[in-house]
Order: sequence, then C-alpha cells, then structure tokens
Amino acid sequence: MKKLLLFVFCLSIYQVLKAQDKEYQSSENIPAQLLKNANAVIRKNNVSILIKDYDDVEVTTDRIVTVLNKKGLSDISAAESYDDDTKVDEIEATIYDAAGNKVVRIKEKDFKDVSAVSNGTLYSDNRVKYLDYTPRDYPFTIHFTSTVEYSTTAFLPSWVPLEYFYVSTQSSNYEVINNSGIEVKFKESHLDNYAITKNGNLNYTATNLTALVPQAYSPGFDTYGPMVKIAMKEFSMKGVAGINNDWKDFGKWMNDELLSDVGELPKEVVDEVKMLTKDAKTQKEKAKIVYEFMQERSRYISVQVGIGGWKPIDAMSVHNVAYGDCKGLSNYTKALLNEVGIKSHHAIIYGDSNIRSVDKSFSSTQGNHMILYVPQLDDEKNIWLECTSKTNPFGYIAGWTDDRDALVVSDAGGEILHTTVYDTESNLQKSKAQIELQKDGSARARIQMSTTGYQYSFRDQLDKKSKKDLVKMYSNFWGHLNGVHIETTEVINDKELVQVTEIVDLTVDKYASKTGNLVLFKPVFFNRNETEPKRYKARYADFEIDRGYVDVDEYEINLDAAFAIDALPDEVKLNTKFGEYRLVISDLGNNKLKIKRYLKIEKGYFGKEDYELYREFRALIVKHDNSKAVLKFI
Amino acid sequence: MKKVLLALLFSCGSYSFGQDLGLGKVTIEDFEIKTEDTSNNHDAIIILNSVDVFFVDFKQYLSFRQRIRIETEEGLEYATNSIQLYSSDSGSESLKSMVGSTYNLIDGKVESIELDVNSVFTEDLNEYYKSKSFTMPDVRVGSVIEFNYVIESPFPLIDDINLQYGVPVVNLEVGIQFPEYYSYNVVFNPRASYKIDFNASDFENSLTSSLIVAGESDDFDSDQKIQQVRLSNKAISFSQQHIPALLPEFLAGDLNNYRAKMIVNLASVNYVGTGKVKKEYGTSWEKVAKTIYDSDNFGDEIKQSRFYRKDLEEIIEPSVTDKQKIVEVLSFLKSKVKWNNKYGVFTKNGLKDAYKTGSGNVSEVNLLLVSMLRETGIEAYPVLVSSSDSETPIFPTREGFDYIVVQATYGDEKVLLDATEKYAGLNLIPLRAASWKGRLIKKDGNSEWIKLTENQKSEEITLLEVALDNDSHAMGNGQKRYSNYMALRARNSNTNSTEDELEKYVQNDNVGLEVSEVRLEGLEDVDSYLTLRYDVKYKNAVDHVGDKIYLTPLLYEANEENPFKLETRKLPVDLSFPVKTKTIVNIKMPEGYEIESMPENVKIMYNDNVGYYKYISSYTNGVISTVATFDLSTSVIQPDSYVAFKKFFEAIVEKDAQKIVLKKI
Repeated sequence: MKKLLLFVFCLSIYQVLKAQDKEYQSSENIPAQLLKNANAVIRKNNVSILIKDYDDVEVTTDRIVTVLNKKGLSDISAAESYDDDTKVDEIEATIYDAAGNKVVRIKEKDFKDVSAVSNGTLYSDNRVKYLDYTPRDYPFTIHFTSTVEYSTTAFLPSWVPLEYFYVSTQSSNYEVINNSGIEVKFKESHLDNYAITKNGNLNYTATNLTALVPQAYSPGFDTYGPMVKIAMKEFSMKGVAGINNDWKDFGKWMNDELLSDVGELPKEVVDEVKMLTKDAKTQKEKAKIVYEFMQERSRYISVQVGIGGWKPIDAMSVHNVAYGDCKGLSNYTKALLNEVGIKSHHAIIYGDSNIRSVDKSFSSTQGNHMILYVPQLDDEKNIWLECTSKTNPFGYIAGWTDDRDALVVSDAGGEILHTTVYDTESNLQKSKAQIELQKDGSARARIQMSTTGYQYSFRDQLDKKSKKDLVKMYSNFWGHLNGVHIETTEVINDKELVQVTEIVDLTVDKYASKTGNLVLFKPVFFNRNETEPKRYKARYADFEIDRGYVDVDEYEINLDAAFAIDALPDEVKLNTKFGEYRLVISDLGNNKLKIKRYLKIEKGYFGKEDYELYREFRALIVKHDNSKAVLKFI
Repeated sequence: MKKVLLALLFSCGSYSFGQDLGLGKVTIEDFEIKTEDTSNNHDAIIILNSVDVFFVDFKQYLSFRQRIRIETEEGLEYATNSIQLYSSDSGSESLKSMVGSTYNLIDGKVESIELDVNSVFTEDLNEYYKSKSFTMPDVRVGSVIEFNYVIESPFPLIDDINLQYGVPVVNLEVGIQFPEYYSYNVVFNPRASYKIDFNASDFENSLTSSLIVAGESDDFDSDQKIQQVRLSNKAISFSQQHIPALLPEFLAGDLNNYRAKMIVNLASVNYVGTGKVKKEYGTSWEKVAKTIYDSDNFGDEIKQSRFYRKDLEEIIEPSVTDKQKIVEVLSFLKSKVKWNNKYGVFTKNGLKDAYKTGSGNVSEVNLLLVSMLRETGIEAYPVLVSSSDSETPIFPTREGFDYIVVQATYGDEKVLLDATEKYAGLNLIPLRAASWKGRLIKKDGNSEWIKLTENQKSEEITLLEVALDNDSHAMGNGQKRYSNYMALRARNSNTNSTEDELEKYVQNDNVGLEVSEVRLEGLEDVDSYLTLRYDVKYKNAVDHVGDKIYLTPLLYEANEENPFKLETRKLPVDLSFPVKTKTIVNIKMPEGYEIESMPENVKIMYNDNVGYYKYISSYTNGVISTVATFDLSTSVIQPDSYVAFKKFFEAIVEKDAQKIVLKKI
C-alpha cells in the first residue's frame, strides 16, 4: 500500500511538472522582474544527484532556458563533458519559439562531439558534447535533458541557482538522493538572502531570482552568491578510492595516493643540484639555487592528463622533457629541494589576479593551480614558490597567488595556510623627473622610476623587452603626452632587491598650449590618473580593494626664460579611509617649479554605501592630476 | 609503404638546396648563425624553413621542415606546434611521418634529444578539422630545434606556401613537383611588404605554358600586373636567404595580406599521358564566376520558389513601388532566416532547408534574397565577393570568393543588399563583405565587376548645448547622430542595451561626465540616421586658476590623445571606411565674466585635402559656439603618408587642448 501511494504521489508530481513545462516553453509569460537586466531566463533547472556508491553517481538534468538575445546564448549550457570514466547516458534538446511551439528536436547524434581543450593547453583527454544551434528569432526557449554517469565522484556538481550575471532564474531545484550509505558533507552559503526554500535534507528550490549586473570592485561572487556545495566522505578519483572527512585526511589521501610516488629523479640531476649547492652557506641560498636551476631549464606547458588532472607527471619525466604544468613543475622542484635536504610541500590554490581563497571550512576538490610551500629556511618562515614562472625572483608570488588561503599537503595530511601578503607601503612606485619646458611649448624630460612589492609584478618583464617594444610600451604608457618621442631607455631588474628601475629620456612636441598671451600646461607630467571608477545609480555590491599601493612622484620643471609664472594650482590634500592624495606645486624661484605628488590607496573591504565616496575620491584625483599651471610671455 | 615513402622523401629532398642542413646534422654553426634583420630583438630565428610538395598516385604530399633557434623566453612558444588536418566526405588529410629533435650546446658540444612520437597529441576541433599538437623536449633559451613532418592529402589544392614569419628566416627552400594530371598557376604575393624577386626565367625549364600577366584591366580598380606562371608535369625549386620578420602593426588589418608567400592555384585537371586539359578551373574571373554559377549549389537554387511563394504573397502588396518591395522582402527574409555565421558561395543544405529551419549560410540567405526579389518582379543579381575574413584574392580562383551579396534595381537606382546583417539597409553591406570589389553574375552566367562602396562617408554629428551652474559644472543636453557604418556600428552596440549600458556608451569613459535620460531613436529604421539624445552633467568643464576661468571649447568631446603612437610604419593603417565627424558645442557665457582670449580659427590639412580638420570658435549673443569638423575621404593610409597622418592628429590634439580664457568683469 505504501508503495502504491508513493507511485500515485510521484505521478501527480510528474503531471504537475509536465504542466509547468508547457508554461515554461513559451516566452510570453515570464514575470517582468525576471526580464530586467537579463539576457536569458532559467525557467527551470532541476538537477538530481543520485549517489549509488562511492564510485557511482548519476546526475540528471532537466533544464529549460529562454534566451532573450544573442548574449544569452552562453547561458543555454546544453553541453556535457565526458571522458573515460564519465558516461553520457542520455542527452537531448528541444527548441520552442516565443509562443511555445516546437521548432526542432535535437537528438544525441546531432550534438557536436569534440575535444574539450581550453586555450593555452597542449592536450587534454576530456571531450564534450554540445549543442550548436542558430536561433531564427529571439526570444526562444530550449529544453535540455541529460543523464550522466560518473565513476569519478570527487567533483560533484554544486548548486548555484543564480548562475551568472545577466541571467535570472524562475525556478531551480537541486536534490541529492543518497542510497550509498556514505555520508555526504555539504555547505550552504548565503541562501537566506535569496528566495530559497529547503524542501528537506539536501533538497532546495529557488524561485524568481532576478538577474545581477556586475559592478566594478565587487568582491568575488562566492562571497555573496547563493550556493550549496557537496562532497562525499568516501569517493573515487579515476579508480582510486579516497576519504574526505576534513582537510586533514583529504590532504593525507592526496599526499599518499597522488603525490607520494612521483618524486624520483635521475641520478645525474641529483648530482648536479648537489654540486651546485655544495658551497651554499645557508638553507635559503641552497633553495634559491635549486629554484633558479629549475626556472632556467624548465618551461610551462599545460597538459591535462592523468587522474582528473590532479596527479602530477612524475619528476623523472618532467626532467627528461624539461617542461610541465603547474603540478609537474612544483613536484619537480619539490623533488630537487628534497635532494639537497630542504623540505617543501605541494600547495593547492586558486591562481587568479583577484584574490580568491580555498574554502577553509569545507574540504573538497578545490583550486585551479599548484605552487610549492617551503615551511622554513634558516630563520625565515612560510616561503612560497611559483614554479611555472621562468622569471619570478625566489619567493615572489604577488599578483596571482598572494594573500589567500591554500591547501598545503604533507605526510601529516592537509592544512590550510595563508600565502604571503604584500603590504601597502612596500607596493611602491617612486619617480623622480627633470623636465625642461621650452618656449615653443615643447618639453624634454628624464625620468627615473623604481617599483617594488606588488607593483614590481607589472614591470618585471620590461628588462626582457627589445628597444622597439619598450618605445611602443612607453609611448602608450604616457599616451597623454602629445607627440612624445622616446629617446633612450634603460631597465634594471634587480632580483635580489625585487625592484625594477627604469630610466627614460624623452621629448614631447606639444606639451604646453598657448592661448592669447598665456601658456597653459599640466604640472603632473608623468603619473596622471585618467579614469574614475564607474558610477552606479544603485550600488548593490560591497566593494573591495584587493591590494594597497603607494606612488611617490617628484618632478622639477625648468621654464624657459621667456616665461613668467602667472598662476599655479593650489596645494591639495585629500585624506579618506580609502587612502591619501597630496599634490604640492611650488615656485622655487629662477623659473623653476617643484611638483610633489603622493598617492596611497589602502587595501580593504568596504560597504556598498562607501562606494560613491570612493568614486568621488578617485574623481578628485583625476581632476587634480589634470590641473593647470598658467605662464605668460614676458 | 613506409620504405617507399622514405625513398620519395629522399628524392624530393634533392630539389632542395643546402644538403648539409638535413635533420640531425645540427652543428655548432647553428648556434652562432645570425640574422641580418635588426629591426627587433627577435624571439627566435628560423635557421631553415623547407617545404617540399610532391604527388604520388594522385595523392599530394607536403613535407615541412623547420630548424629554429630560440632566442628569448617568449620564443619558447616556437617549440610548440599544431598541425591542422582537413577532412571532408571526399577524403581526409593525414600526418604520415613526424620526427624532431632538440639540440643544446653543452660545454661546447651539441647534445640532442628526440621528440617522442607518443607525445604528439590528436584532437578533434570540429567536423572538418583535426589537430596534431606537439612540443619539443628539453627546450631552453638558446636551444636549436628541428622537426620534419609529412602530410598526405587526397586533395589537389596546394596551400599557400608561407615564405615569411613573425621572426626572421635565414635559409628558405621551397620545392614543388607538379604532376602531369593537374596544372597550377603560381604567383608571389604582390602585396607583400617584403618583395621577393620572381622572374619567369627562374622557371625557364619548367614552363609548360606561356607566361600570363594577371589582373584584369578594368575602369576602377588598379590591380597590380604581376607575373604568373602555369605549371604542370615539372619540378621547380626556389631558395632565398635572410627574409625579415613580418611584425604586426596597430590597425593594419589582416597581416596575411602583407606576408611574402607563394600562392599556388589549381588551374586544370589534365588527361594522364597527353597532358591535355580535361577540366579547366578559373583562369579568368569571368570563368571562375561561370563555374560557380553552373554549380548545382548555386544557379539552380535561385530558380526554386514554390516553398516561399505563398508567404511572400501575403506580405507584399503588388501595388507598392519597387523600392518598397525591396525593403519589405529584405525585412521579411531577415525575420524569417538567420545567418548561421558560416561563409561560402555555395549552399550547404539548400534554400528550401534554410527557409524551413530558419537558418542558413551566407549563400543560402542571400540567394534566397535574389530568388525572392525576382519572384516579386525585381531585377536582382548575386554578387560574389571576398570577405574580410579571407585574404583579398590576387588571381582568379574559386576560393577567391567566399561570400555573396545582392544587387537589386529599382528605376535607375542600383542598390546592394545583404540579408545576413540585421541593421544593414539599402546600399550598406557589412564591412566583412565590403573589403574589395564584387563580381555580379547575370542570368545567363556572364559576369562583371561592380564597386561595393560608393565612398560615401560615415558620419557622426554631435551637438552639445550647456550652461555652467554655480559649481562650474556644465549642465545641458546633447545628441549624437550617426550614418552609414557609424550607424551600423552604433546600432549593433546598442541593440538590447539597458539604460545603464546606453549611459555607459555615451559616457565613453570620459571622466567627470554624467549622462542620463538617454533616448535611442531610429534603431530599426536602418535606412536613416540613428540618433541618441541625452542629458549631460560635466564636472570637469572648467579650471579656476588664479581669478580666471579656463574652458576647453569642445569640453569632453575634445580629442585628448593621439591614437597613432608608432614613429613610422611598414604596413598601411586601415580605418575600414571614410569618416566625417562634426562636433558643435554651445556654451552659455557665465554671468559676470567676459572673454579675455579665444583659440584661433584654423583649418588643418592632411595630404592635399584628403583630410582636413576645421575648427571655428565664436562668441555671439552670450553663447560661445565651437564647431569642429573632421573629414577624411580615404580609409587607407599608406606607410609613406603615415608620418604626415600622425602629425595631422597631433595638430588636432594640440588644437583641441587650447582654452578660452574668461575673466571677471
């Protein structure tokens, strides 16, 4: 009786769903608030995850998307990736026109089936089946269904009901059915701030989520978007069974199963690094020699093969071909360091210019990059090595992996550690310039500029550039100078100090502008802020400045004897919680001006209400950087 | 089979010069060899670039060998290569052999390591192309790498043979063994910025037919007269030293147009034994056009009309004018069939299928347009063109055309049409189709050249009316009107735009500018202006220095930066279309001030009035009015005019920076 009841109940749900499908097939009945800022509307997205065993999970997707315009095509997501142990059991789609009339049904054999290789990757063994459809008209609606069988269960789909910017969600349902007896961990994020209901254990429905528009300086979507992540406490990765109760034992599993048998090196290189480091006096010196040896002889090539792209290619192979991906090169460096008696550990991290951390509170397969962690060298602790760079100074990681949580894996298991933070005062750009302003309005200048800290990462490749490329780069860098000619350039990259020094001589054909008997020019000759943050009438997102920095500029301008000073801009001092700006233009006598500019931007997380203040601060800087001095002909 | 192939390779090698440069014979000299091209610090040097093409049993073999020295870290990318192989229903290209080695100079000795053939990876890119990718082992800055592979192809078409790369080539060798069963026309790219001397006498012993001078005389296009040779059943070889690098330049268009290369076109299929022509391919554009027209996937397609006749009858009133008919058919077709972004002069699934499924390639969409226009009694013809995605053809080949537009006639007017572009109206075909000239095909298959653009200028007219408020902010309203390509571009940018996006578009990163209440007018009315109207608030309108006010007459519309930074150029600047912009700014004089000085009125000329900039600022009835007109009648600036063009822009930026000085009364 109970069984029958269940059957009836199911049937009625089924009918309700079918009735709704009909409704979703037409584009004409979408609630108005879901059309705002949307390129596509997710009418329905039902994802059901059936866990049968630690190595057997079936994911069924039933998805209806109305595409409102061309930009919404990317939200269809009628695609499934697969490989040796991911099987696409069923995949199908039907297209409906705006009125909900069926246009065409697309069967599995009509899906394109190609290699899934991202840009910059030499090879990957993943493949993808995807739908390539040219719409006749917008809006149109696509109903996509698929069933995929996974035997690698380490990467279960999360639920992200608000899928991306410019796409709204009418209804999204996520359900995990666990018949395996294995405990499934989960983490809910920010569900309370959205129209989301919990139907039961790991069963959620979201209704009528409006589309978001990206706003500048927003923190990562993961810090405010709704999401449910899941992970099985026992899982399989390419046939290797794993355990994941917490970071400690998940890390232990990685260490033992993926990382323990890839450290062997050929004898010749062991001898070579021992030879190279034999006279090194400190541990740090040794490590640096090894790191630079690796940088010199290896290069980065992305090859995505092996266990879910998670097992490094062994050190021996990396040595033989002298290339590898981030895992291969990190592991190779670890093996080399090990030979000279230095302990280091693999670190899994998100490599991104925006700061993004591995989620400390939820152990699972995360990250997209690997670096190396060296716990201690002499009295120095916590050194991180980026092994895919041929140029980074030893221990320098600013710009891509700095200031974030990473998973460090060792014999003792996994541990979350925070990478190096580059503080505001050390992220310094310091310039000094001598400028001659000629009678005809042209100018000649010599600038010496040095950068350190995070700002070093913008300029550390300049010493590799040809004169031709440098001239091009500087002409754009100082594009505000009308008729600029770069005459000489010199770039010194000091990797010990981690500092780039540039010396440039240049002339400018048309610097000052004549109006009647007066001549106007902008005293902030070089370092001028020219853009302000975008204005939002309704700022919904908090804002974040990932990294602070300081710019210090000092220029001396010698005026031609034909000029007399008529008026100079007043001194400016701006002090805000976002930073400081000072501009002082002083008359040193003898037709000589001194310009002192100081700008400090602080790192920080600010509420959305502060955004307009920040914008005004930056706009004022632009204004003052463009302020004018007035000369007159004697 | 493998042995036979090796033997062939060996014999083919004998067409090449410099036998000491064979694979595996890298010596210390390769580590020392220098390039004569000092234009840049090159990332790599191609020491040897060797291409051999030969035929065995109707199959084409291409043997490609490169020896490269890596000079910089950036140059390491030259150690990774990807070979694309084409497949179609009639056959597939395949990689027949692949060898490679990396050489490093270690303690004065050359050490080598071989490429492992297992690390050549295969990928399916799409239904037509596969790729084979490999990267050389143990490569460092200073390494010499060499690889050699052979591609077998069932197709007679020979790809263009590149003679120039992004880095210099020291030794270049090309050998082609033409079979007797095909004839080819061979030519060197006449647009190449690096000229390779090509004399027919170089091929003295190989000529099977007389030298022809290519390019057809016509009234409006000055095709270069370049020598071309027709070859069959002969072998040629060619070598050259020190070919400089071809480097990209800002706004130069497709770099391939300027590459030194050998272009080899299939001219005919011949009878084996006699060598007599069995089937002739295009040898003149007239013949090319005829061949295309005679194909099942072209001319015949136009004649069908049953499937759409009823729909069309419902839309078109017989009583309307011919012009109106054209407008209506075009708009009906655009709504009915969408372009699937695929090019081609031939239909793929046919007009009927395109009409039924609502999507088709360029040929299907625009042949449908021809067919429908004819059905309604309008004179209409397909026009073959070469799209901007392909290189501009030099000599007649079928591959020279990859796109179709349509010419229709009403009264004495002839208009060009393209139904693949939503916002292209009468006589404005999208830029992708307008880069060259068109071959119009008449009903009998005869054809003639027509112009694709009438050099009509695309305009942007800006009008600003503002007054200064108490905070010296300029408040008021503005409007922008666009025509032709400027309008097409603006329409495509602003279709489906939200209010925020429209504001952003008008604001265009101008600091201190706030735009609101943006109204878009004429978005769908493709045959007239597109207009944007908006309210403005500009905070950085004036500078108060001392007791005076300094005002930029054009406000934020002033040109603040010269986009042309390079001191000189080797390649032309391609601006796509001739432009005229007119900017009118009216500023109400603030109370209590009078003018101390104003910028002079000027007209700056570029190249004998090919371009000019006219700047007039005046003060009447309490309003400062400035009118700046920029006019450029050409869209291509040749390298020898570049310095003058750059100076022209410099002068504009200088002029726009000048101030009006206001003083207190």
